Amino acid sequence: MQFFKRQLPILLAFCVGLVLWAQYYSPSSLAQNLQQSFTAWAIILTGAALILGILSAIHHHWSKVSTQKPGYGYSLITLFCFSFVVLAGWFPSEPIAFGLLSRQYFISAVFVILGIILTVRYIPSVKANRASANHALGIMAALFGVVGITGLVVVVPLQRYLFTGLTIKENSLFDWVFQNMFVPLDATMFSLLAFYIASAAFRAFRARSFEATALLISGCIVMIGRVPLGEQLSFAIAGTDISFASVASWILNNPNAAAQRGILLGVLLSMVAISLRIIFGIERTYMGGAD
Amino acid sequence: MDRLASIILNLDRRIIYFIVFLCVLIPLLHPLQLPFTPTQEVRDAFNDIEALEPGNVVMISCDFGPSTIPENYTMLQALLHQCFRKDLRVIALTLVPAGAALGSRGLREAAEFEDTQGNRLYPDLEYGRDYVYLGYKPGGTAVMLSIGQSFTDAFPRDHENRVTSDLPIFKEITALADCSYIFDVASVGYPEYWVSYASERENVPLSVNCTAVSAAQYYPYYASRQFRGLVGGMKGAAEYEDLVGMEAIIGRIPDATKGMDAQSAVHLFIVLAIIIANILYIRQGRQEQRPEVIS
Repeated sequence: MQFFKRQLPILLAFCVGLVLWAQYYSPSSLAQNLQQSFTAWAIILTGAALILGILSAIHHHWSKVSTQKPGYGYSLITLFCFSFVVLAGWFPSEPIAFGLLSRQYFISAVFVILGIILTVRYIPSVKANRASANHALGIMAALFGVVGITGLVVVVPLQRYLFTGLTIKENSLFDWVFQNMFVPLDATMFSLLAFYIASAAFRAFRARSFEATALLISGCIVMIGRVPLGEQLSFAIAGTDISFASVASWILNNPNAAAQRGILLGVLLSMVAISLRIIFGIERTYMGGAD
Repeated sequence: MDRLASIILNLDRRIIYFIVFLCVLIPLLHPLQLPFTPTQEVRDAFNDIEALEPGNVVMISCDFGPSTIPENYTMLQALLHQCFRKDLRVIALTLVPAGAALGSRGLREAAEFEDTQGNRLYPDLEYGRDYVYLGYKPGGTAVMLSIGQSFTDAFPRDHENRVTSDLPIFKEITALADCSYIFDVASVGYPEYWVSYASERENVPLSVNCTAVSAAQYYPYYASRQFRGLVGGMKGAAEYEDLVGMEAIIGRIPDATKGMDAQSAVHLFIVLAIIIANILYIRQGRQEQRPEVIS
């Protein structure tokens, strides 16, 4: 087992790293084909990683709900919303079999079945008086049941009249959920930043040292200079009117670009070093464990 | 005086929130329409697109989510109108899941835009021939490499499940190298990867629209001309709207331009708050002041 856990991943990282590095410098068709294959593999693996991520998130929230950890209500809402969006996303109107049974009926039925399974598990846990589990199981059974039955009885028939077309086409259920729920919620969360930044800047942005003062002055100039107001406000130096906008532009194009370039070079050199350490098996933290 | 300073320095954060709220609300209701001049970074991006020939293909990556609609979506609209007005063809895609529906909506809105009389602005545009939306594919840099080899292999089906190899645009345009320009409209850190994995590799010029917070980090790429143009934040989008002439196209003040007065007011308030707080801080003596709660 040690071979599969340690040696094999290191060997794979070494071979793949070396091959991909070598092919970059070769114009041969073999190298191009290799790159094509590895790119396809990378896309497939990213897709698989997404599934793994989804399963991991479900497991995390499910265990929080089943053990009733503090704040498990949020996990319940997460699971419910997740189920609802999956259901909405799988709601095309095209039939899948015999021209009668459409996919949305099938998915709704899956949710109903999940609700039934959870209910069946719920009953013995109530009998055994396992308080920690039965409460969560009962709620989950109810949630899945409600989603499934709602899908079968309400949403699917309504979709025939209200939502037409494929999965994420305009006016599909998923598109409606995205445009009317996700977009305003996400935009609202991000909008709150303006309030927090204003409050934090007022409370914490202090000229305590030379560096902090330099940051404060340049920050204020860029903040004013990057809005139309900055073009209207100007000050005179040696008889020449200089607008905040031009000073802000100079700061961004010169000291900022120079500092960012230095940071970028440092980061990229570190990435090269880390990549070499991974290829040669020195860096092993990506496999989990201490070393 | 000391008491007043103490009151101001320990101002309830809800009062600050309320002032910010007013700074946003009042200019939106009563716009001042402060004039602004497009910066060189934005002009460069605009001029590059203007210099393309009718029929050239612009590949647009809509790598943003709903949280940055004011900065990115407004820019996407201005860019698409510029492309359609110049008879440029557009291939759009996204590398972020939340961008899939926004890219679709943006393309549809621009392509099917109707003027105040209800006439379509671009009546000859045809999906699949003049523009196409490939949708989302996981993989990030792998997708960039993949479209460098073949669009139809990387995206066998488009956003609405059409077979891409059947679409007329892909009879002529097979891979990224056949495109004349790449434009990344991004709220996430993809622009630098578009340089390494697409623009430099396939020798296709690239411009970027990014959020205001990330614009500062991209100036080295602009200085080295790896980004031909850099459209930063809502201000950049407003400048681009101005260059494209969006107000005349859509018949009202475009969204990013409309937001400029609110942004000016909020920035002015924050700068004034910082200055006042620092004057009082210095006056009270540095040893007394320590930030208590940052919220």
